[in-house]
Amino acid sequence: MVKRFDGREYNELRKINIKLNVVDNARGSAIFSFGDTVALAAVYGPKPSKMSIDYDKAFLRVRYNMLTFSTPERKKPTPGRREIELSEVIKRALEPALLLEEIPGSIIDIYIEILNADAGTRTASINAASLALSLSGIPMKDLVVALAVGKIGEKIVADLNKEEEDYDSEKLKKDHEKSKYIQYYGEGRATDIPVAIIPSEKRFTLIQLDGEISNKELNDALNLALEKALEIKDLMKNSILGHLSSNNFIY
Amino acid sequence: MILIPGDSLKKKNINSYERENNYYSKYVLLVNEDKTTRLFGYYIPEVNDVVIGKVIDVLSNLWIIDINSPYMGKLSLKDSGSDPNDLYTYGDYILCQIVKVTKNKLIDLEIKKREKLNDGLILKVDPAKIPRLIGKNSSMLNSIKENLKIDIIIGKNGRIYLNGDVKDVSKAVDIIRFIINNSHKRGLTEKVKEILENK
Repeated sequence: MVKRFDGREYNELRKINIKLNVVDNARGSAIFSFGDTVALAAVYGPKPSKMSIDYDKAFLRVRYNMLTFSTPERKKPTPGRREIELSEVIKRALEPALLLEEIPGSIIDIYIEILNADAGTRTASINAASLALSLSGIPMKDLVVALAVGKIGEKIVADLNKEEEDYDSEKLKKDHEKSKYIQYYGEGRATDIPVAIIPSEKRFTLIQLDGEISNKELNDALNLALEKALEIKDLMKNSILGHLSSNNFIY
Repeated sequence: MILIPGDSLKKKNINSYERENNYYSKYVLLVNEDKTTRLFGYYIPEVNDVVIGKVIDVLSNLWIIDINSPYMGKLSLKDSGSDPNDLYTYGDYILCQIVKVTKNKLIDLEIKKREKLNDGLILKVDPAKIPRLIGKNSSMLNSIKENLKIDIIIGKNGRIYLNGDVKDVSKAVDIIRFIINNSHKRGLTEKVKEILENK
């Protein structure tokens, strides 16, 4: 029986690993990893701003950055088009869950560093940032959960890795060892859909789509995302509870 | 019991928000029957709070004070004539009291103690955990003071001033960190007493 490239089922997520309060100087911080994709988020603030105080909400600033050693080839450290876009995308995904109107006129800074990249860095970043925000005591409606779903060939799958993101059945036919995967995935290319969800409201705060997909398949993919998001939220919740409620004293 | 943001609460309180007639938590909360306590948080200025402020700007007749909160404080010089820089200058720590908080979050301060707090150690901790550090009827604070002969001033904004013998201060820092890290756990007071007696 042929399975996905890394032996997962179609709806199986990569191994999730969570570490909380890793940066001492930040108000809240977290590391979230989907398999080999590792994101670190740290939250600073709310701090005073010199803006007009009648601005009716707190000001959220997000900086997404990939470290030079996070990719197989060295990444240039200058923030490019991609980093600026992703910072904005992450900010817009988090903002609907935060009650920013409670601290008008202040600034909240979120710094996100990608320690290792293997597809799905923006989703790992959103998860890490929402964990860090909850640990920094900023009022929020719910944790924001993000994951990628997609269509590879003709198959709907959850949580794509880099190999699946680059899937192309035409290329695989030339590769003798990997051509067996075509019967699992089917003909075609890959479509990647990162989504962010507020689980309690079942509300999507981010949908991006890169590729081609039909209406019905998109519906199936989003339903799969919703189902998996609840699973990730449980993991996130358990990790916070585990971090706080262990009976041993921390020295 | 610990709740995270989005978990449902039975009753409305300051730590909850409302959606479709149900109440949900908006912070990481420790729930004990009806009482809810925030485990992490920032400092919200309130009238009569005593805080440790840091001078970040000096103007002709007032100082701008960072009070470790989302809003800046203002301390004005009553008798004009002297240069405010001679009294307090950039980077000085001073103990002040909040006199007035206006609707658009301008915070007026008053000096509580004339001397600067520059000769000791300033420790910054999570403001949500200050009540636990002081304890019931300041029991926790008094037991630290009795065992280690040092001066401690706690500002409600999460800054702590420590002064005394270097060895005692470093012991106190360890104990304060221990209390902050374990603030919500049971049997903390006994454990702290045990550590204090052993040192």
